[in-house]
Amino acid sequence: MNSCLLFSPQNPPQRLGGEGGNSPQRLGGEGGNPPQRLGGEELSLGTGTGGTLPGDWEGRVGTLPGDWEGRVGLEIHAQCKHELMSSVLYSEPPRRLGGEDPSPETGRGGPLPGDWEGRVGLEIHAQISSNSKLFSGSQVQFSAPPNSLVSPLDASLPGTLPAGYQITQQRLPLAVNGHLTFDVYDESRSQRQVLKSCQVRIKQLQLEQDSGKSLHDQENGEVLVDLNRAGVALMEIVTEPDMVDGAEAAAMVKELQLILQSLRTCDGNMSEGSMRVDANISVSRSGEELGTRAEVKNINSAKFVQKAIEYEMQRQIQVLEGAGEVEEETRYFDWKAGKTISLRDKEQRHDYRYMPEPNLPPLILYTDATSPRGMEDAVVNIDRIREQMRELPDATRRRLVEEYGIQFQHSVALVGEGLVEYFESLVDVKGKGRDPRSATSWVLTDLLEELHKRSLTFQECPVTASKLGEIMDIVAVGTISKSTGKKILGLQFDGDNRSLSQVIDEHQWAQIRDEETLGRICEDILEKHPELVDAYRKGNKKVVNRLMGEVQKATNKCADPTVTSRLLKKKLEGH
Amino acid sequence: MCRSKHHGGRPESSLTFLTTFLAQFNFPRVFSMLGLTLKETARLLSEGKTTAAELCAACVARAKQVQELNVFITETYNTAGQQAADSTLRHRQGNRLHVLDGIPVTIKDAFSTAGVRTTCASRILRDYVPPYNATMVQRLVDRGAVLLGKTNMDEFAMGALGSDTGGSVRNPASYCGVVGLKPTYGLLSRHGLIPLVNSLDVPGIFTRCVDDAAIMLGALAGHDPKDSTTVSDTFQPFSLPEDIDITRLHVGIPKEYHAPHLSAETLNTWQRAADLLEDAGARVSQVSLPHTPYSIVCYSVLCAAEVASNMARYDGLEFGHRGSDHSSTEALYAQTRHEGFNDVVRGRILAGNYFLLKRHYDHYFIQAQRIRRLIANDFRKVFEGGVDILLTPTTLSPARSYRWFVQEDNRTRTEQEDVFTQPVNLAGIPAVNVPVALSEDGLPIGLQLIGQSFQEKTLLTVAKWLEQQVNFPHLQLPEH
Repeated sequence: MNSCLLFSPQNPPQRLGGEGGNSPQRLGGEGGNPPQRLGGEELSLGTGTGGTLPGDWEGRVGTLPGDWEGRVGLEIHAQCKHELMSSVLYSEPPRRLGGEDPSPETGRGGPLPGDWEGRVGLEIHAQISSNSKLFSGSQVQFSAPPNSLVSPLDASLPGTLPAGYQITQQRLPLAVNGHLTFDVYDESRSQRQVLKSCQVRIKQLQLEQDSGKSLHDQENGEVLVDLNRAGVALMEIVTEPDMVDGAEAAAMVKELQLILQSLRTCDGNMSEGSMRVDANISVSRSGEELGTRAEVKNINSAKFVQKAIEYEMQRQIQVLEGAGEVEEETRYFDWKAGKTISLRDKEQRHDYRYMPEPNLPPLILYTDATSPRGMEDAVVNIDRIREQMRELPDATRRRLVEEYGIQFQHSVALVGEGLVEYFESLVDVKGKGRDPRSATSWVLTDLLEELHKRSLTFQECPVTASKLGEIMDIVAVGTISKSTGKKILGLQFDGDNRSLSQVIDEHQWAQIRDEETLGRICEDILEKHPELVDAYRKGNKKVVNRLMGEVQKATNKCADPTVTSRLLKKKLEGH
Repeated sequence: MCRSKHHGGRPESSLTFLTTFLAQFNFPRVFSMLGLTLKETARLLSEGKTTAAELCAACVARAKQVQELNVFITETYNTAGQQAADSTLRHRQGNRLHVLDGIPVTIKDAFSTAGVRTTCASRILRDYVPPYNATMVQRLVDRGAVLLGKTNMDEFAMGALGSDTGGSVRNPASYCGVVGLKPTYGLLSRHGLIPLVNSLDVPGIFTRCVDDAAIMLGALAGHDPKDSTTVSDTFQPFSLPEDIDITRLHVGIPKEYHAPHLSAETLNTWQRAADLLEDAGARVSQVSLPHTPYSIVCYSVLCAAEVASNMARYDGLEFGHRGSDHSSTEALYAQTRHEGFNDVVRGRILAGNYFLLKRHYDHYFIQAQRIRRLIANDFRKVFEGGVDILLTPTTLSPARSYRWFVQEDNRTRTEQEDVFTQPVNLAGIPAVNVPVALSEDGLPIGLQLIGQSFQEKTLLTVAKWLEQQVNFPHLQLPEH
């Protein structure tokens, strides 16, 4: 199975939207029964088909934070292929609704005009970190050659495109009725101030399969199909429309991203499509019912989530104020233009015609109380999973403050940048602890600066915590100054692998602390700058700083500032 | 269909798996080697009295003689010759893989065969060549069986011939006077079996005697990681005893199976078999499966729903028929699918999509699921009440004429022909057709034995007992 599947109709096929028009189906929102609250502890699902028998299909299921409870029921979604395709096709340039679209500048955030209020609900598709697909052994890998990761099951042989349906958990999602609390930070400042705390209700979390990708090549009249992604396990997380603006939605997405990354259930890499966000957006006047919503699909960064929502709210307000009507439709966010654009799919209310998937026996989730004896390793036990769950970001933030006495916004930054592990290995050294505040400063300021300078991600950081620790240590004992330490860090980023002493010797960067030596240098400087000495004696004590600067200049920034300052003052006063 | 000529005499062999029609025809002398049971043939092979190559050549020659009957959709005589040669070598070197090593088999065209065209007798798959073997095929290949070809079937098995969804093993077995076993759902892997109704489809076994069915079952049954509906328990292959004691057996006769169109001859055969069992000391009592009359309508809904879903994958793009309307992708799909499926398949797709619409789901699909549960419970209650085996007719009557067959629409045919077999699929339990008697016209009449889930050994033991008693007049090769 290494072929590229293609066909060539005589007339050019329609163009496909966005990045391959992925996940054309909405599997969650429409139809079906409202999710049920879970009563008991043993959660089983019968498909009601008398013939199904206990099998052993393995769930590769991500774990859930908090008091989520799980319940698995998989449903087939039976849909004819041509309908499935129609939802991803569009062929016309975007039409304008209710007059001119607002310019992107109008959607710049901030409060909505007048008494307008916005509402946002999100549907987030997060790719589950797993070596294999949900129901086949095919590998999962980003940017592999087309159709190189496809088993007969993924291709749904003898079909061509995946089955014509996707398997989802529409009626019996893995978890229901959850919530997520998160803070919205002021990102414009380096100190992350909490602007507000929010809570959003999470309607459900369900497993489903990713779809294949088809590319319509208009020039050659071909449709190219890549099934690498077909069958990859996704979790779809559906929120209630509890957010009021783009900033809240973006903060929610970021917090969720951190949670999934902490749990290692999703790598959260939005640029590679591991997390994709659909936003349902509406506006209404204060006190009125929710307005008609438009759905902006496949937004692939938190920043764009915010921008798309802000733009879309402004657009809807303009439409409504111009006596137009907001259409219930699907749009996408053109990040280059900074606008949302209609996909022109008329938003038919699809009836997906779900039915239980007969090929999957029920998966029963157990707790310690219900787990069958002797089968402990063979069953999914929620209590075991909960025990193995890693610390969630919010707990980490609070623990860092408590344990290390650092400032809350620093712990926010450490968690947000994924630097917690690095920070902790820097601070917690056997036999000697390093100063947490100093470590925060090194990590959040100096390390990040070096990374940003080189456009590196933290994963690509060439300087390990133990190497940075060594630098910190010699700065702390005064062997070198902090600014020299920063220089050495820079050298290490550039690949300098020599020992610290070698580097210091070669550059003669060792800090001068010897009072006699420094005293001579200070004398020199004072002699060269009688006017500053004069000024000092006339009461301008600040000139010490200029004199300090001169000393540093003369010593290649190697003079110990404390000793220097003391010596200078002594000599100035002494005369 | 050709009339078979039956003579009294010892039971003969079957060398066939799944559907085969070779049993229908007169065997000239040159093929007398084909007149042995699988077990006997295997013994000849192991004793070196014949070779897999000779056996294969005889089968191929016979198949060519009856070619006009359109038994095969795809013949694989060349690869069969190679497989037979390999098997011959293994036998010679004393490296026999299994009792099936060198035994010729045929496989219904619904099972995927690597490198061999697999069409389901449908235009929509007319040139599909699977890249992998179905698990059932692989297990046969691994045991050294020689694959003669892919046998014909109704499109997507929507008739009465083949893997057993509603009776498609037991019905033809009954008409042809051979043994047809539908094992418990979950015992045999469906991986690579092109699905019709996933929750009902079961690979089935055709043989000419019950012992051979047990051999085939032993070779095929067991967990398959590629089919999560197969049970994970290890399957212990078994052989059947020669001396069978049925004095402690409790046989149930379901009263609802006295169906309106049951032929007098079939009824009579059923009655005689019940008497035989009772006379031999078994307890025979009437039982009730009250929801039987709802079986066909329940089946119609569930089958259509799953078909609608299963058939969604056929778009004619990579293989199979492709329409000519390229005005849009949707139009191309629509035309391809319209032309690619016959009216029965199209009808079921449309009906299934109707049943699954949100506004109809509860009324049709959920309701049918409930009835299915009730039907399964009917069987469960009877078995819990102490009954070991149920004895029923397999079909309403002996095989019908072609004229009758084409007169009725598929739905009517199904309603009448699958009435005794479908409830078993809905309940997932095992059943076997045992040829019991010949009609006045010389056509076979079979009876169905129904067992409890995974109790194939009990089921086949009773079947073997019945086979021993009735001394069914099997095919006799004419002497030339």
